[in-house]
Amino acid sequence: MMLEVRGISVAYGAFEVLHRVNIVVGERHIVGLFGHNGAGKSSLLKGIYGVLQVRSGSVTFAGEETTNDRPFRQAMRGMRFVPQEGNVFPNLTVEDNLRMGALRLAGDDSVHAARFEDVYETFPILRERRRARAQVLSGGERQMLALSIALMTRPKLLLLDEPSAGLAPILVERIFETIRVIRDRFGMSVLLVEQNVNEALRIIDEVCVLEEGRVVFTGAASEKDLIVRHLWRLSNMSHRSS
Amino acid sequence: MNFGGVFVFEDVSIAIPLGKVTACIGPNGAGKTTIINIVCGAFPPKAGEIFLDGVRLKGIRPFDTVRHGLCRSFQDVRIFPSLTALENVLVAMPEQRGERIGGLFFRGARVQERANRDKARRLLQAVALESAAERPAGELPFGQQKLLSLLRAVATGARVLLLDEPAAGAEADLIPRVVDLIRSLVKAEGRATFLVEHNIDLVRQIADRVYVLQGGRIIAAGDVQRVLDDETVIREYLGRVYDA
Repeated sequence: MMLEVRGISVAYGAFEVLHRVNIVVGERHIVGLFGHNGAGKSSLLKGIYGVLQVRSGSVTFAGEETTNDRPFRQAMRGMRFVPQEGNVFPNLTVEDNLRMGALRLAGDDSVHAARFEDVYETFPILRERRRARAQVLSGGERQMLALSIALMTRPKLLLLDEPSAGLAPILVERIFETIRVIRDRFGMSVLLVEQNVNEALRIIDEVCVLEEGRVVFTGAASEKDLIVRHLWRLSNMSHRSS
Repeated sequence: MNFGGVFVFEDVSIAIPLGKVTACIGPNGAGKTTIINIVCGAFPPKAGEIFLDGVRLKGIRPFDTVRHGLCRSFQDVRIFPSLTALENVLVAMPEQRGERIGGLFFRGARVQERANRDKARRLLQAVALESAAERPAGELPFGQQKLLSLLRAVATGARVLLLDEPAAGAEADLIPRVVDLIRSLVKAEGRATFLVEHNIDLVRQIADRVYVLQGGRIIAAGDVQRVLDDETVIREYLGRVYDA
């Protein structure tokens, strides 16, 4: 198992947002994390990565317990988190942002050059903009850069928070296809929070649905009808309460 | 318009009528946000003019936009994270007690303050955020923060709202609230909305007219379905057909 989360709880002050959540991500698996707003999806990713403190339960990554380890330690072990915001260095150029992602990358210049080439091949627009500062990139270009920074070290596990947010419709499909391709090519595991359920389901192996900090459904992505029904029920509930 | 050595616009004209929602879609990096930035005076256009109610807007500065009746929202969330959701709405409202020196001493200002507070609560209720009213805004889930920043723009009372991807990163269950908010509090009050958005369903639900921007040029404009059926738009931006 690449990632095993056992009964973790996470809180903001006295406000508990996750209540004893279990989730597992198998090797080379893409797991989708769905749920309505405030369900605790982002908090779960942050708890796993050590950005938020886990109050109880455990996180095991590649066979090693890593509960509440600092984010940089998780990164050194081969886990990478791409948050929804603040995911690039705005004052650095695209190229330097990618270099920051590769700081701990071993090997000679040719290894680095090959990684850059991989990124530019996946997102040609980043090659065009490589000397531009990240702050002048459009919202969508910034998303591509954030994902690319994480890919520079070829992590074993990627935690992605809404990779398709702010992307043009034509790119949404492409970004999911890219995630699938990098999984196939480099054999990484992915835990993905996403709103674009229909598009995401094309590449996802398993699904976990959260509701108010609890797991209410886990299963294979092929049980699409069941998943969609769960999400419908949730969104209808939240609409009724509003 | 030149931007960091990159050429952004060429001869772009857009009209944003009152009481209507004017949407702007287009590939990433087309210059959609830049239009909002230029209107708000973040940088001057190289050529061309901006008119508000027939009067030329000249030398407007970003901090001064609301006084001119314009308000923008940002793609990333910009709120006061340590203030509560209610306080975030309150500080966005006009007629603040400290705004004029007299307001600090006279009772009328207190009454106004109470009225503002009631109004802010009503606004939070309108988007089902009342349960979050007393929580620090920075602790709210991302989608709710996004909704709150949209609400802040509405609360300013500005006649022209420039909204930068209000739906990006917001969960599907929040989209109906965005639609309701824009319909009931913006359109119905005769305010003008300029909406930059990639969520085609949202655009379809509330936009009256759509401009498609690509590489700093308008490649299509018109009513929503016509634009979504445009072959170039499908090829360059949508990637598939969006049926009526």
